[in-house]
Order: sequence, then C-alpha cells, then structure tokens
Amino acid sequence: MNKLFGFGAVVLSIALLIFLSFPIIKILISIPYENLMNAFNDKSIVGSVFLSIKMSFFSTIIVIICGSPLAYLLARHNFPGKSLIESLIDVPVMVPHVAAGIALLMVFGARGTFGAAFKRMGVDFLDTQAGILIAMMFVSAPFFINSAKEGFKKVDVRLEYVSRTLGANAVWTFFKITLPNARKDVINGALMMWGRGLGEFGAVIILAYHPMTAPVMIYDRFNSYGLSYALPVTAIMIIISIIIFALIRIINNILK
Amino acid sequence: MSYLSIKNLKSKAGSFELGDVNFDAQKGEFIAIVGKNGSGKTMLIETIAGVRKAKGVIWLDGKNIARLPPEKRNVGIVYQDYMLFNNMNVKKNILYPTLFNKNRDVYKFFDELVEFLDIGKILKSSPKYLSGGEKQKVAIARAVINNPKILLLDEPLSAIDFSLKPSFIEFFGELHKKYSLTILYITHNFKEALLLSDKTAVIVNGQIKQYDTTQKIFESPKTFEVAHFVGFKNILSTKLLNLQKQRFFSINPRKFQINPVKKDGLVILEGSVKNVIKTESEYRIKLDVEGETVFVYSKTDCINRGAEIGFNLEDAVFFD
Repeated sequence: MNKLFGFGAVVLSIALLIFLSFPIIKILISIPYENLMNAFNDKSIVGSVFLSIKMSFFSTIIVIICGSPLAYLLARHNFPGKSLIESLIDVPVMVPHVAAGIALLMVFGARGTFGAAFKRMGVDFLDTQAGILIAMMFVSAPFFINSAKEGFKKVDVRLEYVSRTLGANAVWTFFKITLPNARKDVINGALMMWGRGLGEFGAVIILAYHPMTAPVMIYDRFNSYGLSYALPVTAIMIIISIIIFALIRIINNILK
Repeated sequence: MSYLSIKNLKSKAGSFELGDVNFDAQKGEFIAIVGKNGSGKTMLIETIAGVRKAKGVIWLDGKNIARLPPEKRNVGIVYQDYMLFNNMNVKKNILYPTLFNKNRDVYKFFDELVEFLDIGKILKSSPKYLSGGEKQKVAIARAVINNPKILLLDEPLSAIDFSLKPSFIEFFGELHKKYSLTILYITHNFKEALLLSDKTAVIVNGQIKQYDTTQKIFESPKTFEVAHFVGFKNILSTKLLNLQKQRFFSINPRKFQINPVKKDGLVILEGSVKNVIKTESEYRIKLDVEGETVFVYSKTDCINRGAEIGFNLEDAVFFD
C-alpha cells in the first residue's frame, strides 16, 4: 500500500511537471538559433522585454514600500474590518484582469476620479509607462502583500519585544529584526509579484497598448503576423525571466 | 521609596485579566514570581518591560516608567526560549543594545561577560546551532550588557537539560551577586524560588495571593492556593479539628504519630488506611479521615486498617 502510494505520488508529480514545463521547453526548442539571435538584435523586441522588466520592477518597489507596512499591520494586529481589508487585497487576483484594467480606466482615465487630478499635475495614465505601472501594481500587489504578511506572522513577536527592551525603537526593530527574519517570504513575495507583473496583459492592454510591453507585443505580433513572428519575443521573455528568477533564488538561498 | 514599586498594575489579554498587582522591591533583591502555567507570570513581566499595554504605576529608581516605551525603560528581559536573533551571530546578538546606547566601556564589559559566561568559543556561531545552555547564556549576556535596572527572567530553567539545572541555579546566584542585579525571576517551580530568591510573589489567576520573604511563604502560606502551590501535603479542612477561625490547616506527613498515646496538645484523628507504599527510607501511608485524604510518612507500617493518628497542634499551619 505504501509503495503504491509512493509510486502514485511520483507519477502524478511527473505528469504535472511535464504539463508545466513542456510548453516552455517546446517554445525554446522550436525557434531556430538564427531567428533567436535576430530577435535579440531587434531593438523593438528587446525594448519591449526590458520595458516589461523595468515597469514590473518599479511597481514591485512601490508595493514593497507601501505594502510592507500594510502586511505588517495585518500580521500583527487584529482590528475591526481586518477580514474586509484582507478580502479587498485578494480581489485583483480573482477578477478578470481585463475587468481590472477597465476599473483602473474608470479611476485613472482622463476623466476618472484620480485621473483628472493627476492630469492637471502632468501625469497621464493612458498609453504611458505610468499606465503600465499602475496596471501591473493593481493586479500583482496581492502576491507581495500576502506573502510578506505570512512572513511577518512567522517572526515571533517576542523577538520584537526583546529588541525594544534592548533600546531599539519600533522602526529599528522592524528593519533590524522583523524584516531580516521574514526576508525569505518577503523576497519570494516580491519575486512572485514581479513575475506576475512581468506577464500582465489584460489590465495593461486596456490602459496602455503603447508603449508595448512584451506580452502586448506577443499578442500584437501573433494577431497581425502569426505565430512565427510572436515566437522570438516569447522566447526572449521566457529566457530573461528564467535567468532573473534563478539568480534571485540562488542569492536568496546563499543568504539564508 | 522602594527601588521598584508597582501600584495597581492591570492588564488584559482576551478574557484573562492581570488584576491590581502591587509589590515593592529593593535594589539588588532577587524576587521570584511563582505560579502555575497560565497564571499571568509572563504577562506581569511583559507589562513591566512595557511590551504589553497596562494601567497603573511602575516606579523604578525614582521614576514612573509606566508610560515610557520599552526602549526608554532600561529593563532587560530573557524569555524561556531565549529569543535570540537568528539573523546575527552570537557576538552581534550580545552587542545589539550598543547600536542604540553608546557606552565607551561596553567592550571592556563585553570581554568580562564573555569570560564570566564562558562563551568565547561561540561568538562567531549562529544562534541556530547552539545548545539550550549556550543560548541561555547568550540571551543573558545580551540583556546584562545594557546594565538594566531590572532583569526579568522568564522561566530560565524550563528549557535547560535536567542534569544541568543545579549548575544553572548556582550560575543565576553568582550572576545576581557579581553584577548586583535586581532580578524578577519567573518560575513554576517553588524549589527554584527557595534556592535563589530573597522574596517571592505567588500569583494565581492573575492575582498576587501572597508576597513576602520566600522563607515566610514556605513556612506560613496565607491561602489554600499558596499552600497548595508551595507543595504542602495534607491540606485539610479545619472542620476536622472543630475549629472555625481559619478554613484550612496542613500537617507535615512526617509529624504524625501512629497509634498515639493521648496527652494535652495532641490532636487525634481516626481514619481508615487506603494503601501503604514502601520507599527506600519510609512507609507512605494514605488514609481516609472523614472523607479527606491524609498522608502519613512513617518508619513503621505497624498500623491497623482502622487506625488512630495524632499530631501536635503547634505543628499545624493554618490558612484560609
């Protein structure tokens, strides 16, 4: 019975791993080497990939700065309406991302609640990098907040108490004790958020078709010219993402 | 005024209340706070440390610290599971307070502490890989290097290997003397309090039931709970003696006489023997006396099933 269970677990795991990895491998091996190199030399492709990386990176940084305090408050305190706030944070994960884009358009569009005010300050969200940034932030922030919250929960609150009695104020304690001890979950959350933002299509395309992020370019090339034109962008996007993800995970494991 | 004076200290956690705590301590005293698990001992020291909200007044060295944040109180706390910072090595753990309180002599004191605690070999280690005893010493060094006005120790021996406990009890005594520390020492083991402390507070359900010299608490507890907690055997109702003044009395099981000869001042009880256990040095006899269980420790087991036992009234301790 035990052997059968073990065998079953291995077979099912392998089946799922094949399902998850094979399409990626298939893309990578389907492109002739020459085409891939040409794609690397195509400024519009490389530009769109780096635009995605850059905007997702900045949206992650903004959410780390604003989301860490929120995650900490949710991890450490109970207050009326906490469940409601936690549900609100999860909403962007659940709604279709095109719908999220439309919702953002209502608020940050030229005549939107905040959009009009921002426009007066010279910030426009339609077809701009700022639009890409808020679209990525909106749909991927829950990945960071939830992971950081779990990380902070795992840090024994008495470590913070001891730090306080040793002379550190609340801010020092957060940066010297809580954050370093929750580092693994915080970094994982940031990685998940960054990765999710990188691949965001639905919300981005509603707010900013141009400048083209990699997912929008893949869609655009697939629609306009077909599969063979879309493949190099897809491959480059996958290769760069894998390299960055692997590097951060290796660094995180070394620091552990 | 006392060095430490706590007045009407109250705190709440869910449905549990720490109620109206009052006690004083002089500088350099070793105070034990004893009570069962869940009686509010840790909550009490956390309110003193300032990491838990509380009402009341805490005078420490002439200053009311009750409204100060923990970092301004200069109170050290060592938890039973040490709470070392795993993101730093041992040396950085110990020197952590120096990031916030610059003191020129701190490195000299650090060297002295390292030598006294014999932790020189582990300074570069991660706390994750230390034994319980080593972790304990590091946590103490970290709390002491800050020259705290009071050191709060939360069940420091509970996670220490049984065979090492006697040497750690000795160590706490030496630590107290060497650095003239004022210590509040939490334990659920009254023997530790008896060995180490000048005074003891017995806490039951968030209330201090008795605060006195440790010897006095052990000799004459004021209440049933305190007597029970400090390990009194034979806590019996005074109805057995036809006395109404106090509700309970206790008799040391070794103070009983079996089949006694009647004389003045000797109280005689009749009971039936429930069982007799032979140990290396004596017989432990369990009797039923008017529905109450009485233990008699005797060198002899010459006792009938329906037996008479006696004791001198002056050997009885009375309490409510």
